[in-house]
Amino acid sequence: MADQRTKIGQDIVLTCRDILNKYDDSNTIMCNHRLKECDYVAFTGLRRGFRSENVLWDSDLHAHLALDNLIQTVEKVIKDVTNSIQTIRYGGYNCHDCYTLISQVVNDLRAKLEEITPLRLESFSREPVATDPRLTWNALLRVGDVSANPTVRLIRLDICKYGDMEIVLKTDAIHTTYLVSSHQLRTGSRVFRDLLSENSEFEENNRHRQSQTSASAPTVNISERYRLEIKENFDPTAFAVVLYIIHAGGKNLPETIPFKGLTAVAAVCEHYDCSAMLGPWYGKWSAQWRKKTEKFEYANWLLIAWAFGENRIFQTLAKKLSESGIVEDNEFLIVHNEVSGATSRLSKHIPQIIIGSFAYTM
Amino acid sequence: MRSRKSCEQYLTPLISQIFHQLTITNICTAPPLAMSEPAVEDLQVINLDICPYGDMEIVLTTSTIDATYRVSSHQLCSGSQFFRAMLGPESSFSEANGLRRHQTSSSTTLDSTGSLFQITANEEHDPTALTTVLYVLHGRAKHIPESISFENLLDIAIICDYYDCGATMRPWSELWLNPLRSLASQPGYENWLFISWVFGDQDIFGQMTKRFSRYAVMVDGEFGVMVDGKVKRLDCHIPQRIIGTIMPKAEKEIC
Repeated sequence: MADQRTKIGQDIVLTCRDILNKYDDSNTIMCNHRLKECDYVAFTGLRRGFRSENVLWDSDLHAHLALDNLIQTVEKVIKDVTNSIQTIRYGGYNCHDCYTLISQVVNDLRAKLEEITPLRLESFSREPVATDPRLTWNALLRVGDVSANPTVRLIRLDICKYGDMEIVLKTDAIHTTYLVSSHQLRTGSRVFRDLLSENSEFEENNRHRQSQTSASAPTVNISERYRLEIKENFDPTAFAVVLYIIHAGGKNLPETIPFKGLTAVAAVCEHYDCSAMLGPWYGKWSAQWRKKTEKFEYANWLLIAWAFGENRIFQTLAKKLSESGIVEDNEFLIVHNEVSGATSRLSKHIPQIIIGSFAYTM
Repeated sequence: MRSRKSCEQYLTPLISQIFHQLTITNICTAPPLAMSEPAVEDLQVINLDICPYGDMEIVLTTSTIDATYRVSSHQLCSGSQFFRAMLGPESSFSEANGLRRHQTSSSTTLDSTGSLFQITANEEHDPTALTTVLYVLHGRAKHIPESISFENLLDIAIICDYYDCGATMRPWSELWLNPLRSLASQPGYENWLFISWVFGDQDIFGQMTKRFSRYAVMVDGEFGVMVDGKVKRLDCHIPQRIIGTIMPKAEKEIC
C-alpha cells in the first residue's frame, strides 16, 4: 500500500513538473509568437498555481502528506486556470490541450487511488485470526477425540483450558472428560453451586476442596485435579455444548443444531438448572423447530419448553399430550396412531414431576 | 395399556404452579447492563460479582469510581493472553505467585468473605466497558448489552487491546459491530480502524486502510487523518506496523 501511495504521489508531481518544464520551453517559443495567447495564459496560470500551492513536493519528503490533499490542490489550480482562460476566450480560440491533459492525468490517478489494495488483517494481528470454524453438531466431540480403543471412544475436551476440575461422563460407547472451572460451574448452575459450595454436605465438595489445596502448587499436576463423575446418561455432545456456553466458549458452536440435539441440550439444562445461561443460543437453535411443536415427532418440545420456560408451548403441548399420551413404567408414551395403537417414547429426561402429574390424572 | 382420560383440568393448575417457581428461581429478569452512566459527583463504590464464585478480584480506581470485580482466574487465563501470561500456571510473575498463595491459604474456606487476591486494573480504562468485557469473558449472557454506541465500543476495544482478548469477544463483538458498519465510511469515525483491528473484522479494516491511504498524514511524528480539511489525531494505540505500512516514510521525516 505504501508503495502504491508513493507511486501515485510521484506520478502527480512528475506530471506537474512536466507541465512547468514545458512552460519554460514554451517561454522561448512564446517570444517567437508561435504560441496562442490563451496557451500562454494557461501555462502561466498553471505555473503560478503550482508554485504558490507548493504542489512541487518532494515525494520522499512529503509522502506523509495526505494524498488526497495533493490531488485537490492540483485540481484547484486546474480549475482556476480554466476559469481564467474562459474569461479570455476571445478570437475564437479554444483552450489548449495542456490543462485538459492535466485534468485527465489527475483523473486517472484518482481512479488509481480507488484501486489501492486494502491491507489484510492477518499480517497485523498478534494471534492468527483463523476465524474459528463453526463446528457442526456431529463434529463437536471429534475435536477432543483421543481414543485408541475402537470399542469405547475416549474424548478429552478442554472446555476451560485453565480449569481446576474435570467432569467425566461415561456412556456406553463414549467416555468423555471435560476440563472445566469450578467457578463457572457454580456461577452458571444451581445444581453445581449446591454440589460444590462451601456449606455443601455432599461428598463431592470435600474432595473438591482437598484437591484444590493440594493442587495449588505452582505447576498443577493433571492427575491431582478433582474428577467429578456424572452418572446420568446425558448426550456427550449436548453436555459439551452446555459446558462451552457456561464457560463463554461459544464461538465455534454451530448456528443450528438438530432437534435431537436441542432435546439433549434441554435435558442437560433442565438437570443442572442452567437454562438461563444459554441466552442467545437458545433463541438461535430453537427458531427452526418452533413451527413444528404440534407434530407428534416433535413431542419432545415438552421437555424443551419446560427447560427453557416456554410457558405457552408447554401448556399447549401438555394439553395435547394429556389426550394422546399414556404413562407406562414411569415413562411417557404418546399414541400417534389411534387405529394401530402405535406409540412412541418421549425423552427419558422428562422430569418425573411432569410424568407424575400426567400419571396422576390418567 | 392403561385407560386414558383427559387430565387437563388437573394439570393446568399444576403447570402454572411449577412455572411460577420457574419464573422466580430460574429465569433471571435482570435488565441488560446500561451503557450510559449518570454523571456522578462523589466517588461511587461498586462491587460486582462477575463470577460470584471466582477466586480473585480486579480493582479499578478512577477519580469517580471505585469498582471491585470478583472474577475467576480460570476464565481470565482462558480468554486473555495478557492474563495468561500474568496469572497462568507457567507464569512466575508476582501476581501468579500471589494468586497461588491465596488459593492455598483460602481453599478450605471457599465461600468466605475474607480477602481475595486482588489485582489493580489500569485506571485509564472505562469502568462500564471493563464490566462488559469481564461479563463477556465469563459468558454472563444476560448481563451483556446487545447494542453499544460507537464511543462505548471504542472504550471496549481499548480494553480488549490492552488485555489481548478481542477474539474472545466473539460472537458478541459481531452483534455490536453490525449496526455500526455504515458509519465506517463517514468522517468522524476514523477510530473504526482501531476497532476493526482489535475485533478482527477484515471487511471494515480493508475499507479503513484504503481510506487512510488517501487521507492519512503525519504531524510531528504523530499519525493523523484529514477530516474536512483538518488534521484529526487518533488517540488510540494503532500498532506501529500498520502505520508503517500506510506511511512508509514516517521514520524519514523524524530524522
